[in-house]
Amino acid sequence: MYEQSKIIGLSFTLITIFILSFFNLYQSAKVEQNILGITHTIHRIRVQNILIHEQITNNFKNQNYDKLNHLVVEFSSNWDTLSKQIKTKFATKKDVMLQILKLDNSIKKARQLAIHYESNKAVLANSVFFLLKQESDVRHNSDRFSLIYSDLLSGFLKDILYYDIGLSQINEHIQQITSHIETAKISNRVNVEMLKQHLSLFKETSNRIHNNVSSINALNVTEQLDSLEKLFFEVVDYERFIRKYINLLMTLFFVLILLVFLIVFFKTHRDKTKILLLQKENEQKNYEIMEHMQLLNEYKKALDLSSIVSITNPNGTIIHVNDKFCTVSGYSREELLGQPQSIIRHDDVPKEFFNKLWKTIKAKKTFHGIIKNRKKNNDFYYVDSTILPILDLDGNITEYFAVRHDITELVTAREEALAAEKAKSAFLATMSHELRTPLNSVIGFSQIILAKEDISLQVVKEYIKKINISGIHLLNTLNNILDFSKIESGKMQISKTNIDLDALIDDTLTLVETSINAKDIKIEKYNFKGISLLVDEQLIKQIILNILSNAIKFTPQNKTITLSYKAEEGFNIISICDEGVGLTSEQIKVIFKPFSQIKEHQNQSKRGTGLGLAISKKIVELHNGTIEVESKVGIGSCFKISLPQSNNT
Amino acid sequence: MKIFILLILYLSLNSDELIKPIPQQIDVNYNKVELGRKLFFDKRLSRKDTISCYSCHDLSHGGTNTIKPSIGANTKTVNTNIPTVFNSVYNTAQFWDGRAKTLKEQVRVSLLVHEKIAGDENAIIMKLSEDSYYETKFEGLYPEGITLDTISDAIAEFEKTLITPNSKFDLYLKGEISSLTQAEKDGYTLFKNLGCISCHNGINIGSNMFQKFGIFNKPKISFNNLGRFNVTKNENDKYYFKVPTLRNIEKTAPYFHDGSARTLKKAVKIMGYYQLGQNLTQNEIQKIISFLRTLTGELPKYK
Repeated sequence: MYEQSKIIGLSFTLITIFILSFFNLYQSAKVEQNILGITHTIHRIRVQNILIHEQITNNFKNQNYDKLNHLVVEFSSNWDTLSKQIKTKFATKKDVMLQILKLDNSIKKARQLAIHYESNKAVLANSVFFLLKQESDVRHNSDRFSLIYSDLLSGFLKDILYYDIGLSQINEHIQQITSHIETAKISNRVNVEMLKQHLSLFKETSNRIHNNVSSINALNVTEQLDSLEKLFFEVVDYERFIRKYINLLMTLFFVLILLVFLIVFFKTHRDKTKILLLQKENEQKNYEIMEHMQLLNEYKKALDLSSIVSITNPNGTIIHVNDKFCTVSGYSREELLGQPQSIIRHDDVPKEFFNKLWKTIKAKKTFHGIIKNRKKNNDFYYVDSTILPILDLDGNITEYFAVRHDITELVTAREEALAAEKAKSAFLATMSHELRTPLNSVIGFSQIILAKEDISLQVVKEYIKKINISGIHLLNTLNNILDFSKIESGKMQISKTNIDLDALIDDTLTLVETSINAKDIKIEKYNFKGISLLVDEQLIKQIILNILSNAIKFTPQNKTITLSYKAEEGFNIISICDEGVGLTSEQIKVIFKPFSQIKEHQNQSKRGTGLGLAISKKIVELHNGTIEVESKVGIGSCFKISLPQSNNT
Repeated sequence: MKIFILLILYLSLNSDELIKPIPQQIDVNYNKVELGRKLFFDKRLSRKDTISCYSCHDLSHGGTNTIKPSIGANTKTVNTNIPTVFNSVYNTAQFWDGRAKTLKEQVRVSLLVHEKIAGDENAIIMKLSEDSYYETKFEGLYPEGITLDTISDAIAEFEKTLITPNSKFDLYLKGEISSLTQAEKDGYTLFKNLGCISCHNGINIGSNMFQKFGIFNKPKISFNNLGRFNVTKNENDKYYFKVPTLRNIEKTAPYFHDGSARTLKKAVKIMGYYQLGQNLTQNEIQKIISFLRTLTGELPKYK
């Protein structure tokens, strides 16, 4: 805008100067033309002045004044034009005006003198003509008087007509003629009075003409014209010089302004092109930035969808969390913002770990690692964390950006897988042990019987009994293994029949009656009367027997085992609670896994196959039910078997 | 030898005819002439719409009136004899005292000076502006329209055309020697020999200089008009008058500046006595008059 106005201003100035210089040139041309006109007029006046002089200084013969009058009129009119021209041009030049005034005066006087000259000259010419006639009249007379008279007259006429003679000579001639007429006898032919009159008139008019001409000459019109012309040209030359100077200045100024104009114009043009180019580039960049922004947005969306994102300031205060963070942690955004990062710290993670983490990120390095975090509900979750410090241009840390992936399932699965692997090895170890122990007993006792000859029958019987027990135990173990593998491979068939639960419990209690009695354990039974279930009788009996055996096994003497039934939310729940040693949470986790005997409780008297609860769980699951355990160490454990009621119908 | 020289002198003095014939026509702007002619006859140029230029300058006679002395617009007597308008273009100056150098000036002076038409510049212009003919004519010819100057210019242009060529004497000058009778030729010779031609010469046979009334003898007639002195206020110019033209002299009576001579005879006699110092005989006067009558030319075809 500024550039544009500058250009407009400059163009305006340029045009103005251009017009001004044109005007100046036009004026100069006009002035020059004027000067030329004046010069021509001066020249004409000069010529006419000479011609007029020629006419006036002509001889005494009679003449026609038309030409002279014409010249005088022309001269006057030319002079009028000239004086008017010069007056309008040099109204301020005092000396020129003065000269014009002087010359004008002189010319007026000269004109009057010329008119007088004409009048006098006519009279004089008339007298000359009279004298000529006189001469021709007396010429033929032979008398002495006439001869002298004729000679005097012709001499006089010759002198005045052919030679420019002075007044004194004219007077001398007239004196001679007059004295001759007076002294001599007057001829009849001569009109003496007339002659005298003409001579005196001649004398008078020639004197006057002489005065007229000398007055005209004394007016110095020619010299005055010269000086006027000189003055005129002095002024004109000065003005020409000034005009030339102004023209030169104007041209210089014009060129200067033109240069400035061109520079500004081209500069502006260049800048404009530059700006346009920059604008285009900018647009391109903007577009690219927009694209990047879009892409970043998409990335952010993807990141938000897939990852837990949080940003903390250098002090570790949370300033940003994404939705995923909230969902996973169980905290709302309001609860998280402004809180320290340690809000999600899990107690299981050692302090040294975090020290190491902070050390890494404070050293402006990216931290990478798996961290166990705490949910709001005290649950835990594993995250694969990447924490990178965000730096400003000076290299100072402005914030920390943390991207975490919830890998709880992965970790759990891994742990589970590891546990399963461990269980399998343990299973194999246990199984080989379980199988080998009774076999050792069988082989050992049988070798003793074979080796000893002097063995009593009673001892043999005792040994064989032991072999028998081992055999039965082995068979049990093998049966259990077969059952378990059957269930595992899905080959277990269940045949559901309506059973009386109370009777089933009673039957089962009978099977363990000896053990109960041996430990003086009290059995309490609730709500079983009249309950009928559609289940596989043998399998359910096996479950209850299994749990009951365990309960008896881990319950100290004189304690109580409670069996109860209740219907709840479409489930038939059978609870078997003891007052035994109880289980830790870790133990609860593995209790239903195969071969996972609790080592701490393991002793010879209490050992089992380690498959009992695993098989029980499988059987309950075959009935679409669940089996759970609630336990506290030192207080007791409670096993709940839930079977769907729909099984009844 | 002496005789020979004088013969040459005599011939040289007379070989060059001092009188020139009037040309057949003159270069003018005919549009202006037409306008000038209209104005010449227009009485609206006078204050009371009573007289026009034509009232005093009778173009069908001698270009002047025969009344002595002339009458102005306000019927106040004009104390000078009105000069003829014919051939006035060849006059060295206008009016008896040469007040106006040009015809245009003469018209202007005549329109304004109280003793003549006595008009008023604004009144004249107002009256002429009412006439659509003048309005359009002036506008076509003069950028400045109707002004005293343009009116004068138009009338002067018309006056330029008022020339009287083909007089008997002009024809003689052109070579038709037989156009003059012997008496007329004798009259011309006498006119030259007496010295009349000293002042009455040139194309207009006069009107090219001023001359004193009474060179040889002091006139007894009274001068209430001092002539050239009125203009120049120069003592030497007293009694100097413009030498009048002799063309159409027969028709321009009365004669002299004051119209004191009613007949040619009287005028010639007076001229001979006062200007040439001679008492002319009846015979001489008759001869000169017969010559003077040959100077009457054809009236201008102004219509």
